[in-house]
Parts: sequence; structure tokens; C-alpha cells
Amino acid sequence: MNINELTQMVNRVTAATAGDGADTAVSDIETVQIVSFLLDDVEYGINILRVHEIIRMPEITRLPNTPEYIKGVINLRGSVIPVVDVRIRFGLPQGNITDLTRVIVVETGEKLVGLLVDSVYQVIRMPGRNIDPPADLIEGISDEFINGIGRVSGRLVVILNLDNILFSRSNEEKTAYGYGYM
Amino acid sequence: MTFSLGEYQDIFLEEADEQLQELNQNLLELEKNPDDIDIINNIFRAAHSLKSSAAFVGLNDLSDLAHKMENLLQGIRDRTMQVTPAIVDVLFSCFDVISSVIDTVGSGKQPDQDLSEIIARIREIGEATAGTPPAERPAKAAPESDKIPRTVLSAAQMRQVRDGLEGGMSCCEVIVFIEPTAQMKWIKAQLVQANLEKITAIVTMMPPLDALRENNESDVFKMVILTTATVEDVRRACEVDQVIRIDLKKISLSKKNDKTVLKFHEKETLYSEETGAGENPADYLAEKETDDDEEEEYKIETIRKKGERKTTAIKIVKVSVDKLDLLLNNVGELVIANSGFFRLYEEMRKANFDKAVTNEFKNRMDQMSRIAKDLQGGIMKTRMVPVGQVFSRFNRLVRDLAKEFGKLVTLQIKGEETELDKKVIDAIGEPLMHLIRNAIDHGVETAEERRKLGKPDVSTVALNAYQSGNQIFVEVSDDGRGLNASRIKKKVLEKGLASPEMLANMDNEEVYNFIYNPGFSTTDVVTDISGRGVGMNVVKEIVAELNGNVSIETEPGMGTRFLLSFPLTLAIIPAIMVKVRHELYAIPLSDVIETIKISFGDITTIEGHEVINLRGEILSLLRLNEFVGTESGIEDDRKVPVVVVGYGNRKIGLIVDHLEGKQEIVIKSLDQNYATVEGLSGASILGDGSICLILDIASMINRVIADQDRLSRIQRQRVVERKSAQVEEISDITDLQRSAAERREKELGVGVAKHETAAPAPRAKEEPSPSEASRSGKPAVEKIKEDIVFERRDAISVAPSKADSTPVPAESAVPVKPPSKAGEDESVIEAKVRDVLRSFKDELKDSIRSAVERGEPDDHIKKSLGINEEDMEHVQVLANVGITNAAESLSKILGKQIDLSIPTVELLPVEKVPGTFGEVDNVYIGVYMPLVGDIKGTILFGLAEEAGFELIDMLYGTESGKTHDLDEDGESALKEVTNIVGSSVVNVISEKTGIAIKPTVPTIVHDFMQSILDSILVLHNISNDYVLVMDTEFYYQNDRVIGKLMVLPETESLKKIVEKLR
Repeated sequence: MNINELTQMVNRVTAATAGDGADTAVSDIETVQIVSFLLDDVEYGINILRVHEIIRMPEITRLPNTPEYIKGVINLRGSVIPVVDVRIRFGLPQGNITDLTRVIVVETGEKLVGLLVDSVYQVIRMPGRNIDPPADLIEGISDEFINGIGRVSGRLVVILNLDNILFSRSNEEKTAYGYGYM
Repeated sequence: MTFSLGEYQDIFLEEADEQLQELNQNLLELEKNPDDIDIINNIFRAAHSLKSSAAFVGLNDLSDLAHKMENLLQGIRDRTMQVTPAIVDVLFSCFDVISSVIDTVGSGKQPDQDLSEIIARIREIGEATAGTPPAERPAKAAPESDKIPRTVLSAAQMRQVRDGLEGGMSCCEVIVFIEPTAQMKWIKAQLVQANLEKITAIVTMMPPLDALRENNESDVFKMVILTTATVEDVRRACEVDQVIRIDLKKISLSKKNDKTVLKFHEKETLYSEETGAGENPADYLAEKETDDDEEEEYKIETIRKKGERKTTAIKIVKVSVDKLDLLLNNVGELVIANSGFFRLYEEMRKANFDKAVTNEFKNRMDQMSRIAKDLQGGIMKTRMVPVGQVFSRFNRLVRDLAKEFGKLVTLQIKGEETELDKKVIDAIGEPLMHLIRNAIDHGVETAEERRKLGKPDVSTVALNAYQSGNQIFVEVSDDGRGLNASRIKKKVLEKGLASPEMLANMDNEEVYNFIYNPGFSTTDVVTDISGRGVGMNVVKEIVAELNGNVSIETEPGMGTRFLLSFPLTLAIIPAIMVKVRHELYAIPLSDVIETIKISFGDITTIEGHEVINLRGEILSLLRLNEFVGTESGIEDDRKVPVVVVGYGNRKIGLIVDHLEGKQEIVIKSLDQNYATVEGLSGASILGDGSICLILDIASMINRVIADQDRLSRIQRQRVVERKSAQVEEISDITDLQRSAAERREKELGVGVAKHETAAPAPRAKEEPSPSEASRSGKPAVEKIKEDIVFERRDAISVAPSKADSTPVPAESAVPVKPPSKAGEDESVIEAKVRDVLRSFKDELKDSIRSAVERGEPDDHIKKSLGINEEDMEHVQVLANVGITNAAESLSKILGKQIDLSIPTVELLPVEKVPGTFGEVDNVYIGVYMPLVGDIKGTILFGLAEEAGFELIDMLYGTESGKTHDLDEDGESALKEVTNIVGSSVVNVISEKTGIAIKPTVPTIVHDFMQSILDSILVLHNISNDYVLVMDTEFYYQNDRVIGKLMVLPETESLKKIVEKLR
């Protein structure tokens, strides 16, 4: 998927839907809490229930023979967990490690995964009906990583689908890398 | 879809496993001691427990089978039946069926085994053995059965029951067992009675409370009750202190011959909740006064069992290994966290803290680390399980196999109390099974053979386990015929796993290792037990997975012993830490064979794979930095550390940047949170909290082996023939660097006074002899492909290939030799070497480019040799005459009309030759005939494999397509043809040029074309890169076979020929 396109799309939609209340009514009135982070100008969100913890940039051990977006593994109190460089995963240029750089440890399936992000932005509460399915807004773009688009006081937050963050859909990639070295 | 028995499945499976083991054990005992009533009782007990637990989880068929088994055993117990082999066999079959059902359940599938057949067999055998069945109502019951009072109901009570039942109440008989050692049992009975009275109507109680009061010996009483309460309520009411068991029989009304009778359902044990209403209807109808003695006896049995259960349950808690692993993990963390205190302590000391405080701190810290260590050790120990439970499984296997092979075998088990890691225990079964099968199938002889050899008739297969140091050893030995080294060797040759020369250099130990090769079996007869050659490979692999090792000791005629060794624990392993740049990797010590240092000069490249000759053995190399995808920090002129690692019987050398040392590490899996990564078996967290990755040697070796296997025999041979690499101890680093530098100087032709001390270069064969070196300024040949034949990286190959005839004159004019100056600084020499290399590479590129641009890539060869078209025509004429002669002599010698076509003659670069044959990856037959005399070189007659076979058929006049293999006869035929054809051509050349050329005896090579050519180039020290190729077609009757006759003369010789022809 192309994040630049997505960014444009989001911006366009932001302009179009600013101040627009509940046109796409979703019956869900539950409030969801979203941990959001910024990559370039786009705000991404992760459901707080999936977030295990947020830590400062730890020492990362490179993991050979893995996809480029696997930054390596870290020691999280005795567990060895992989860290995904979200920028690379989304096809963005490599970022710099700063004081604000954080690893958001999330749960996907049974696994713990660290997401390397430029900075953690905020925690947002929003009613579930403010989240639109991605298909409504983004046409032709793979929704591999996107669960929906949330509207918060005129801003848009891309709600991430974490299930594909570690491996691609199916395990094609996993397999390919497993044998790719031969 | 998985099948599950619900939440009790795990408990059931575990229990069933225990019962099965007990069954198995006792069945084997029973076979030996058919009269031992204890054994029968044990079997009975196991069958009974199985019956109840199977019913409990709803496996009614299984429960039924167990029940039938019980019945059969009951007969034996009553001595109304004799234990016959037939009965034991049936019991074994029952055991098999039950295990298969339980396995099916365990694997999450719905069991679909048909049990009716086995049940029928039990019935048959029961009837057959018992004859007139007195077993139905055994006359003499065990004295204890008297304890349970008979149910006798008066007419009034009967009516009460019937009315109650018809009124919608349920009626049942409750049998309560009180702990035999309990004091004042009647009080318990009274308590139960009082409790029950609250919720039920008690019809009768037997014996009456008064009787109980008088006799403290009776610890069983029963009550018939009418109630609307649930079974659970009844149970609760009866469950008072020191009641060890409560049985319940439902009583219902039943019509029999128009008479209403009470039907007693089979009893249930109410130690937990209701087992589900309306399950098994009772097998028997009981008139109210004829209570069943048989039934009573079961109860006694179960009482005892229940009592045992209770005591063992207190002693043992079952914990899943996962939980232990988690604990171990935490303890590991504790140990790591603790190491932080040491650092803190050091800092406190440096900072001049109050001495008393620091000392106290130290004491506490030491104490804590001790506790942490103890804790770690303790948890480790909990993972240990005695090996006996695995060993005892094999009694049955040995019995069955011995029967099958008609051999007399006893299984001896020793050291069953030795404890092994649970993971090893779980995995060790399969390798042991293979070893035992092999021992019985191949190892031990039949009784007859043994008698002839003066051995006792009964052979022994022994299992033994013991601990020694940090290792646990498990042995499988037999007193059979031992491994037959010569037979293995024969098989090795047949399979082409090694060359005769390689075998000759091996001692028997090494030869035995071949049996681990997949598909290796020396038996000609494949039985369904063994012989397919899978077993030993599996053994090796599984053991290696557990970080263990297998070794063989064998003495012909005396027996064989396989020794499996495992590390004491799998959770913590010793490892060698290596570095690539700044990245740290761990190699499990169990995979490491040795660590050596080599210099790059010792490395040979074959088809892009780096190898060295390590003490006469080819060792494939893998650069760790390439494997993990980083730059290497090694400088080229340094000796590099190589960790020789082995997996199975293959080994490779890992080139690393630096050896860090040995360390104990805790393995953590990567796929817990990520996935299995190729080449890594896990990660470990070091004392400072950083992560170190553990290399998966098996996968690395498999990768290299895939490459290595492509190296042909010839190529291997070539490397073996080279001198061994100078392998040095790691400690002599400075010395080694010195000698490396010296060697380099020598190789460069830099006259250094001290070069005598330098070790001879291992690549001597490829290096130019001094005479060649002196000619190096004269015409030499162009290399189109850098890596096609030999490694060209080394500076050494620069000198002879430096050619003034290359199409780039400016470049080629660069002087090759660096100024020789004794005692010159190493770094200066190094720089020069690099310069020379660079210019050589540039030159090469240019020449390739120019050759390509001109469109006729081979032209430059002729040009470089000073051969023109006219010369080629002369050669063509020679070839024509030669081939004509050859055809004549062939026909004469073979007595058949064999025609040969007029050959086309070409001068080709050597790397193009395989291509002209067609498939590079096909196997060819090459017959080569070295030339001696004034012309040096080789005649090579090359044929595609199929063509070769056809030619053989043609020569022997056999039907085309009959030959499929190159046997001795075929070889001699091909040699003869080559001899005739080659000599004819050579003779013509000799005649026309007046040069004395003598062909020698031909040799056959059966390999890839590149290998054939390589072998010639190596064996005959030919440094040229072009070949005179003559396509030759053989005609016999209607068949046509095409082969290629090649002349590979030395450069000087070719020029001589050409000159003479002018």
C-alpha cells in the first residue's frame, strides 16, 4: 500500500468531513480508547486494549534473515519480542531515533510485538460510531493495516489493524523468508 | 474439527496412560508367572480403573471393553480359568485396542475403532477356557465380600419401594465405605443416616446401626433409600469425615415375565458429581434377594484402589511443563537481575560507602544469589523424570519382535531410576525403538546360530541409563553379531557416498558413522521392522535435536552398543560465543567439534563454494557474516577463526570474526513472539540484559550440504589430494600472522630470505612451476570467466595469466612483478598485491568486453596463440586422416564395420566445452589418455552417458539400450575405442609433424563434464584454457553415436604442432 496516497486521501476526507457530525451512522455507541502516534503528518491509532505497554527505545538486537521491517528483537523483562519498524512496514522512509522514539508493545494473536514509532501522541476517547470502515474512504488501497478511520474533533485517525503487522496476510511472507535464503 | 472429552480429557488421558503402562507391565509379568495372583490383581485393578474413567468421560465402548476384560480376569482370579498363552494374547490385544483408542482421543479425534471384534474374542476365549462356566456364580468368594451386607428387603419394604417409585421418587442403594482404621465407625454411620434422613426416606439399613455399634470391624454399610433429591445431594449427605467411598446403585422397576421386579443398576461411584443419567444399563437383572457376588467383589477391589489413590494424590501434584518453563524463566530473570547488584556493589565500594553497609549489602546479595541458584536448581530438577517409564515400554516391543523373528531375546533394563529432562524423556522413545528394532532384527542371531557360535541360546538386548558428570548416558546394547565394517564399506561404495581412497583412510569408527546416512541399510532384505535405512538417520536427528550425541561401539561377534548422551538439562546449555562485527552469536557447544584458525590462502573455491582441506578431509566453509547478512570485520591478511561444527555426520567450518569465549546460556524461543527464523534456534538473554541469538547449526549445515552435494566426486578428490591446510591453534595468533605474510611473499615471488620457514602453500598443484613462471611473459591465455575453473582471487594466478597478447595492450603492459625487496614492510606488499589484483581484474573486464564487441569470442584464443585460419585447416586435415585411420583399425579389431564421420575441428575455450555437450548438469563418460613425449597434453574422448552406453552396445553387438551401467566390460570397450581413435589421431600428428608423441593408458571418468575437464587439468598440470575439439560420429549398421574427441595440448606443444605444420 502506498502511504502517500493514503495521506492525501485522508487529508481530502478531513477537509470534506470537517465539522460533519454523524453522516455515516454506525449503531455502535460504545466508547473506544485509542493510543495514537504520528508518522509524518498522519495520526495512527491502536485500540488501547491491544496495547501491552509503551517503552522507551531499548537496545535492539538485529535479527538476520528476516524482512527489513523487522528491526530486531528486544528483551522485555525476560521475553524476547520482535520490534517492527512501522515506518518501513508502511513504506515510509526510515526515521531517526530521537528522545521521543517509543516502542509500543502490542498483542497480536498470542504474540507480543513491539512497534517502533517516532513518538506517541495521545490517548483519544471516541464513540465507536465515529469510526468508519476503511472501504468507505479509501478505494483501491490495500486495507491490510487499516481497521477504520476515526473522526475526532475534525481530525482523522487511521485505526490500525495489528493482525498483519508482523506477517503479511496468510503466512506467505513468513514462508518466503524462511526459505528465501537458500 | 477436534474431538474432545471436555474438561476432564487431560486428566483422563494422563490416568489412562498410567493404567496402560501398568497393564502392559503386568501382562508381561503374567506371561512369565501365570500363577501369580498379585499380577492378576494388578491387571484387574488397571482394567477396572480404566473402565471407570472411560465411562466417566463418556467413552462407553471402551468402558465396556474394560468391563469384559475384568470378567475374563475374574475367572482367572477365581481359579476357574487357567492363564493360557491364548488368554495373554487376548489381553495384549485388548491392551493394543485400548491404547489405540486412547491415542486417537489424545490426538483430538473421535475414536472409531471397532471394539466388537475384540469383545467377541474375549467372550470366545472365556467360554473356551472355562468350559462349563462356573465363573458366572463363583462359589467361593473372597472373605472380604462378606463385609458388604446383602440386600434383603422384606415384603413391606418391597412395597414401600414400589410405591415410592411409582410415586415418582427414585430409589437407590447407597453403599458407604468407612476408613478401616477409623474409630467408632458406627458414629459415622449414624451421621450419614441422620444426614440422609433429612432428604430421603430410608427404607432399610444394613447392617442395622446397633449391629455396627457392637462391631467396630465392619466398615461398610448400605442403605436403601427413596428420595427426590439429586444424586449430588445424596453424595453430600453421605460424605462425612473418614468415608472413603460411596457407591450408589439405582433401583428401578422392571417387568419380567409379567412380574414387577426391582432392577438394580450398575453401581456408580459418587466421589464426584453424577456421571450422567441413563448410561450403561446393568448387565444383569437382579432379583431383589439375589445380590450379585461378582459385583461385590469389584467393590472390594476398588476400595483398595481408592485408598491407594488417596495417599498418592497427596504426595504428587501434576504440573504442566509449560508452567515449569515459565517459572524457570522467572528464575533466570532473577539470576540476571541479581547480577545487577554485583555491579552496584562494586560501585558502592569505589564510592567509599560506609564499610559496614557495603559489607552487609554484600552478605545479603550473596545470600540472595545462593537462594536464586537453589531455586533454579530445584526447578530444573522438577523437570527431571525417571527414564524407567520409557524403558518399560520396550518389554512388549522386544517380546513381539523376538516372536516375529523367531529369536530368543530378553530385555535387560538397568538404571531406570536415572532422571532425564522431561523433554528428552518424551522424545527418546522413538530413537530407542529404532535401536532396539535394529538390535533384534540385525544385531542378534537366531538361537541356532548362537549355539553354533557357542553363545547362550537366549540373546540379550540391554537398556541402561546412568549419569556421568554433566551428561546423561542411555545405552542400547546387544550381544549379537556386531556391525560389519566391510559390509558397510561395500554399501558405501555402492551408494557412492565415498571413494575407495577415502574409505581406505578411514578407521572403522568413521566407517560406522555411515549408517546414519539417510537410506543407508546393509541388509538386502527389507522387513517391515527395519532395513529401510530410515532408522539410524532418525536416531541421529532426534538425538541431535536434544543436543545429544550418539556413538557406536561394536565388536564383531560380540555385539554392538549404542551410547546416547544428553546434557543434564536442556534449558541451560553451554555455548561458544562468537562475534561478527559487533554482533554476538552463540553456538551450542554440543554442536562444536573444534575451533581452528586458518588463513585465506588455504581456502579453495569450487563452483563458488569455499572449502579447505582439513587434515585430508574436505571441509566446506560458511562465512557467518554472509549468513547473517552483514559485513565482515576480518582483514584479508589475517588468520581467521573457524568454528568447526557438526550435525549428524556432516560438518562445516564457520568463519567468524572473533571468538568471545564460552558461556552458559538459557534458550528462549523466537517463535513464541515471532516466528522461526532460518538459521537461528532461539535467543538468549545475557547477564547485562542484552539479547544474543543462538545459531541453528543443523539448518546451516543442511544449507551448505545442499551445495556440497553438488560437488562431484572428482572435485572432492582434487581437494583431498591437495596438501592439508595449515590449521593452527588459536593461541598462536601472532606466529600465524607472520607465517601467513611470509607465504604471501613467497607466492608473489618476492625473494625473501626467510621464506624457507614458510609452510608450503596448499595450492601447489595450481601454482605454476618455476619453469612456467619464467614463461609467464610469453603467450598466455585469456580467462573469460573468472571463477570457472579455479579461484582467481589469489594474486598467484595473476602472474601466468598476465598476457601481453590480451586485447588491451596498455593495461597488459603493466609489469606484473612487484619490486622484490627483502624485508619489505608487510603492509607495503599487501598494497602492491591489491594493486596487481585490481589491474588484473580491470584487464580481465576489458578483454571480456573487447571479445564480446568483436562478436567472435573465440578468435582471441587463436590470436593469442598465434594460430590463424590456415593453421586450423592443417589441423583439420590431420584430424581427417587420423579419424580415417581410426575407423579402419576399429573395424579391423572389432571385426565389425564401424564408420566414423569426418570431424569438425574447433578450438574452444575450456569453459565452453561442457556447453557443446549439451546439458551442463548431465553426467558424461570421459576417457582420457595422457600424452607423453615431445608433445605434452591429453586426449579426451567424451560421450554423453547414454551415448556411451549405446556405443558399448554397438561394440559388443548387443541390443541397443541394453547397457544401463558402466561395468568393467563397458569400461574396457570404451578405453579400447579411445585408444584406437586417439592413437590414430596422435600417430598422424606425430607422422606429419615429426614430433615424437606417445599416448599412454586411458582412464575412465564418469562425471559431470566440468569435473572431467577439471580432473584432467589438475592431474596433468595443464594450465591452458582451450581445447581442440573434434566432433566424431560412430556409425554401426543403422545406429549412430556421437562423441567428441578432444585434444588438450600444452600451450608450448600446440605452438610446436602448428609451427611444424606450416
